[in-house]
Amino acid sequence: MRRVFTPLVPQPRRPGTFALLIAATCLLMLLAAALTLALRGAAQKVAEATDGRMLVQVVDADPIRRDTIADEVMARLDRMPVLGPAHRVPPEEVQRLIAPYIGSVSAIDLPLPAMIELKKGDRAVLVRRFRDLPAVQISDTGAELGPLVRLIEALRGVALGIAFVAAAATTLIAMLAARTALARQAGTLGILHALGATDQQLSRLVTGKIARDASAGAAAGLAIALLVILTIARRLSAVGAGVEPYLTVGAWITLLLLPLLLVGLAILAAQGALLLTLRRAP
Amino acid sequence: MAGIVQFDNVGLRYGTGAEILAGLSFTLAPGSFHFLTGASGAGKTSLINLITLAQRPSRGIVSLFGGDAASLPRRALPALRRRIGVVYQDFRLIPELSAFDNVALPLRIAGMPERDIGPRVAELLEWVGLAPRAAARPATLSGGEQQRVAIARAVITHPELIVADEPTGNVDPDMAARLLHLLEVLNRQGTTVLIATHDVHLIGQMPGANIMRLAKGRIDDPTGALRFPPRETGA
Repeated sequence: MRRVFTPLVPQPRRPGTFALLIAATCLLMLLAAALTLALRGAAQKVAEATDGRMLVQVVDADPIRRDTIADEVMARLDRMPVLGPAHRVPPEEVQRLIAPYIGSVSAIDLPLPAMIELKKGDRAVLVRRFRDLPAVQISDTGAELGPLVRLIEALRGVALGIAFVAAAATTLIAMLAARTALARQAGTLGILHALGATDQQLSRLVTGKIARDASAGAAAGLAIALLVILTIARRLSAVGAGVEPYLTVGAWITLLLLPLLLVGLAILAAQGALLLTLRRAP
Repeated sequence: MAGIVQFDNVGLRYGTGAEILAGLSFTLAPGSFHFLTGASGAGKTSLINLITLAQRPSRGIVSLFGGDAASLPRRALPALRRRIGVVYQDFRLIPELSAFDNVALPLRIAGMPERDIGPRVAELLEWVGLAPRAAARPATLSGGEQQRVAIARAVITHPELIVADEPTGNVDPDMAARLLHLLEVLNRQGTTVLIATHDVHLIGQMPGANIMRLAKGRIDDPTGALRFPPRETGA
């Protein structure tokens, strides 16, 4: 028995130009979506790592007085329960950190400030608490990294915009493909129409081919996109800034589902365009 | 008696041009057999387009099977079209389909199960002498063979109305007689038949048929028989 979705007139099996266009828009959309998801993870990590973080510096050229003040600061911080844990950065670590920037000069000879890191703190409270110690400087490192977080968010917005533009382009391409197919098959569709075919039967005839082409294109786009994403992730991992931690399992599932969404969107757009055009026939 | 086809002061124009059909009023009674004649450009094909719902009139009322076609919702029109078998002058076969599949098309559109379609199509192709050519595509068929496929496609569903535009224009006299006989048999079974033709010889083979003469977009009906057909009609 003939199945209901079997087309009344066989359509060419070979994917057409439409499949190539869908492959291109799908690739673009997936890369933009992957960037969006990865940047969301990155922004979250940076924000989590720097939110409320404070740096207390004791700037004094006299090393003995500097140490005394630093001990006093640590003692006062211990008595402030609302703050997060405080960590005094060992002088050797400070010296090691600045060594690459001072060339042949020995870091030991420099009057480096004593540094105390606070995981969570309020700059205003700290400034009040150490007003009597002029050698103490408070830096809100979380706030200082705010522009970086905002830049990441802006880039994420751009990537998301590109993903939406790609989806919109797919919709328009599907509508154009439907209208082109309608024009190309006007003779055949006219005959079927005269023989009593319904708009749905005629629409199914064209959308069947569009669905096949869209699926083939989306599969090709997905394959290439995965290849690109994995290649970039591997290269970033090699320099110690891997993308994988930012692309969670949920993000990967989203990326795999997006082509299906794209195919559905293409079919709906094509069907809508076809039914609108067919409705104008007598 | 309600006609299968009823035109009431129907006119047709394309765009803002002059009316190519004007003031047409006639009735095709159920089971009647009509020839539509007229010179080239008289409007025969336009009239057929109105009857087969390929076009809508600019004015007037076209009633089919007892209902005003213009007042029907669009979704009801396919079912109405399935009750009409049309033979086009240019055949309008689908090139990608075999003769068999072209003839089977109206049945598939109507949703008939495939197991019922095969024997029915095979029988009709046998009748029109095309059984050996069932698998052939239209491009490989002669003009006469294509015309027979078109006629078989028009009658396969046993429609209530058959409209044929020059159905014997490309066949030899023997086949023309056979095809006319087929239409006559269907007419005897109750199908209303309207044939547009220039073929005087063909008209002569059906002495009981009604003749509608179209001239300059108007029907020549001096006796009023087309407007008010006799109650007893048909062969």
